[in-house]
Amino acid sequence: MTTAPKFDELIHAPKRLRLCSMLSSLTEVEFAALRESLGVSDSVLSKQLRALEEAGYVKLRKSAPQGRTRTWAAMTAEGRAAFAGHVAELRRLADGIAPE
Amino acid sequence: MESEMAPREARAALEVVTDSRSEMAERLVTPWWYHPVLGILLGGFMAVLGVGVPTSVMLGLMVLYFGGIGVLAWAYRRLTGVWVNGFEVGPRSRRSATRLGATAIALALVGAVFGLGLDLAWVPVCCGAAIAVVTTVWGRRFDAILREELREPV
Repeated sequence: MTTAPKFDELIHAPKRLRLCSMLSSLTEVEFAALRESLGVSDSVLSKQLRALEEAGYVKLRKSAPQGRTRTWAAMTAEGRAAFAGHVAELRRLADGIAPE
Repeated sequence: MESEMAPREARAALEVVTDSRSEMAERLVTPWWYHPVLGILLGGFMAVLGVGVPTSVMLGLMVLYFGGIGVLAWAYRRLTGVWVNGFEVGPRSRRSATRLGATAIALALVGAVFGLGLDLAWVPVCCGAAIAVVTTVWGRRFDAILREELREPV
């Protein structure tokens, strides 16, 4: 099944595009790993994640089995579908194909 | 919503996506002990199943096995900061994981048939050892396929 191209303004913002690319490639990623890979501060990452969470694209989970609390982020099915649609739209635009 | 983005900008955005996925691929570096421990847990459990033990012992071993798998997954997450379902990344890694599972099940069945059916206890032990070796070797190859798939341009 092919995904219908659909530009997503929320995903396309530079930091969120990288964030969504990272989250969509794996099942779950820890906050610290995302912060390190993106090279941003805690507050910047929290803000971006919150925006994606409010849109229903990302689910956050806290775990503290031992010691400090760790936050894990995972993309929801809705987020994965929106991201796939956005990438399909980028491909269409990159190829210079007119919208259907 | 339609966008007015130029093809050049769209290609640059796709490169960002590919680069970000590659960054995550770099994080999928499994600790050297992960697959051997997984192999020993899986092979050991299958060997005991094939040899045949009392139900109470079996229940204890099941707790040990599933507890061990849980600790292993926890340690992996803690060390790498990521978790991935091997069936979700791409077709090659999905095929590889399916084949590994099918091979382990086939070996376990051979062990059970010879161990429980013909009372040849050494066969399930050998099959268990084979499962441990196959899981260790195949697991490393599986990780490499996962990384390759994540690095592929979108």
